[in-house]
Amino acid sequence: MTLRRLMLIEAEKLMKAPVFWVAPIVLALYLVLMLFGFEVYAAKNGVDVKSGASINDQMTGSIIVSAYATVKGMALNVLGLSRKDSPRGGGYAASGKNSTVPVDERDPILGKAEKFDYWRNFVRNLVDPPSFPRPKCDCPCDPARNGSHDPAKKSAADAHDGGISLFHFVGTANASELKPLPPVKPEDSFMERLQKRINWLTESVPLEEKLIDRSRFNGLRFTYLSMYFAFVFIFPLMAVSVVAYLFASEISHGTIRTSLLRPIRREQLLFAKVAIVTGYLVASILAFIVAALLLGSVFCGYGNLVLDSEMMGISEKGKIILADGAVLLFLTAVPVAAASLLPLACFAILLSHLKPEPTYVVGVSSIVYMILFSLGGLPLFEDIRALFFTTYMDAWPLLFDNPMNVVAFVQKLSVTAMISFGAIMAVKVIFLKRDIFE
Amino acid sequence: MEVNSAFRKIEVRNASKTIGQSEILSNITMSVGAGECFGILGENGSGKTMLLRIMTGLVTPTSGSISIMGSSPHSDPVSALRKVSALIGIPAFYHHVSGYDNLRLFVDVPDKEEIMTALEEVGLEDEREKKVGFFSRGMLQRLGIALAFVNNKPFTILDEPTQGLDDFWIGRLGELILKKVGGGQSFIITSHDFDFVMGLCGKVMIVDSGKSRYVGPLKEIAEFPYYFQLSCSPYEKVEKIIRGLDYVHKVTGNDSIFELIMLKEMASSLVRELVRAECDVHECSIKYYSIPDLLRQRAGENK
Repeated sequence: MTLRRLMLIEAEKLMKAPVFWVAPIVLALYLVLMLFGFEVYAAKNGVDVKSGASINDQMTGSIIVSAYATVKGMALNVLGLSRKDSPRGGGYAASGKNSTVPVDERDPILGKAEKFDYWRNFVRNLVDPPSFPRPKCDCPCDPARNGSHDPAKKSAADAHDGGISLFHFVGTANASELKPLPPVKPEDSFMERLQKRINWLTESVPLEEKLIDRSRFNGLRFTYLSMYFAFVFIFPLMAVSVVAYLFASEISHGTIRTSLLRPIRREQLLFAKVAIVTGYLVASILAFIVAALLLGSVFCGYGNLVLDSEMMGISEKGKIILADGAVLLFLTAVPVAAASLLPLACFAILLSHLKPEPTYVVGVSSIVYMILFSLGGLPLFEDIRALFFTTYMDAWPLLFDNPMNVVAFVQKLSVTAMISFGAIMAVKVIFLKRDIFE
Repeated sequence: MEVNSAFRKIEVRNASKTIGQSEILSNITMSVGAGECFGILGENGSGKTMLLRIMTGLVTPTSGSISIMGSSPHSDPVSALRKVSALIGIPAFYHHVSGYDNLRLFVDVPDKEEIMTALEEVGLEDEREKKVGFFSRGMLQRLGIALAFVNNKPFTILDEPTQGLDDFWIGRLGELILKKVGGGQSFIITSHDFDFVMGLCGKVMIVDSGKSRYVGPLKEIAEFPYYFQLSCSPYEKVEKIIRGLDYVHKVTGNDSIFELIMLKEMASSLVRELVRAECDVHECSIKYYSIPDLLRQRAGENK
């Protein structure tokens, strides 16, 4: 029996298992929740994320998008976050295909910040990838576009433009230029107070900062944030669940015995299973990113990836990554993220051989991961953080840094590879010597 | 490929297995040639299944060696397990996958016709698309037997193949095995079902407490590994009739319970005879001697 056939068999087994189908459902639900949370967060920041109007203009007659805009509008109304004074005609639900006002006229700032021709842009970028480096810096720090030129930002941009990076650096928006919050009267209702705050947020920010502020709530930003949280909670759980199915469950249910009665070497079976776990992680992360990009682009718009603020607990360095470059980075992040999950998967594989109980493997692996992940973030454990395998699992966000810390990136991936290899070798020794009684 | 006849056999030499302080198997030696049906008899926990696990490479022996047509299942499983298929323990399949797909996933060569033939042989052709999770214990056992039959390998190892099967399928399985043995395949069967083993295996090994107590034809150790227990009255009249029957080899009994040794086929004649003589037959059942009893009987005869 060839290794290829063994891998195909393992893949087919996994595809027929319930665990295989639970993951996409969980991820889909997560994406929908994320999308809603993203839009609520944007609304709380006074930003009318998208593009509701633009989407409807381009997808005229799309029931799904109209329904989505309506539901979202209703939900935001309930939460008191609806923008009734929106230059697009007010409210999400109203900004649909019935609007006859061109997008740029309804919201000139948004129109400038994002080219709503996202489908064309998206396809163009796929078919004809832009050549890098960009010949010219045209970011908001450019004095040609921005009167308040910041030399530090400009020099960073200049330094950057000369390199081969995909990034476009602008720096964090300067909050000192914000106007003071208008006074709130005691007789004002909650809605009026909220409205004032939203108006202040949207009207007091200088033009360039609005550009950043508005454009940062787009599909790419949504993808980045979705990926960030999914990588912390969902993907690790998926990895240990798949391992528990392919290893612990097979041993505890005795199907490993039936498998080993075929003319195969145990190393082959182990290698095939590890390859399938890796392949599954790569495929699910890729599918997740593609789904998030599509969902985000459709509902939030396609534009540059702006990482310039502290959002939902994530501290981000100020930067803008051009949309096309960001898409390439997301695709590059797929194998890196999958590789980063391997130490956890290998730890679960090791556990599966020490105590082949699926529930035990999922439970213990998840608890160990969460403990190490949480402790690794505490200053108290700074000195021993290097001993936790979770410390090396965040290599993929480094791809989005500018300039990228190549040393840290290579170090993280190398340690990840060493931990995974060591765990697999330990599993190999155990599995080859193991007597199959189950 | 022409294989030298000297290599067409499974050989176990001095196989022992010790787990912790307990010795599960001790110095087992046996050999099964081409076209042979070999039985391994033993009580629960005697080490039969452990021996089969060692023979198929699932368990590594503490000492001794196994050769399947010249290849060791431990050092060269690819070559060794190409020549042997096995059903060991309770058949384990994926419950969320159909019977047909389970076979396809577990066989060496997923030939559709061969899989279908095997399913037909065990009467599961109509249930092939049914998920194994919905199979009864008997159906699961038959699927395990089908898996062992696919690809028609030179050697087939069956561990307690009659477990969970009804009488019809036990008979049908016996027929199938005899047919395959006639076709040149070899079988190694463990069981505590004397009848089943007696009807199939020319040679048996009796394992007791991990040790091989006897290797040879089963008839040599016990022509009658069973006896009939007859509950009948009135005692004197019944005893007189039974002692007068030439097909009853031995009679012991007290009160209204008799223990008779005779061929199974004669049971109906006996009952008919007693009824005709207006005796009250309360019960007539077949009882098997335990393996230690048989070994004790044999030791007594040898003395």
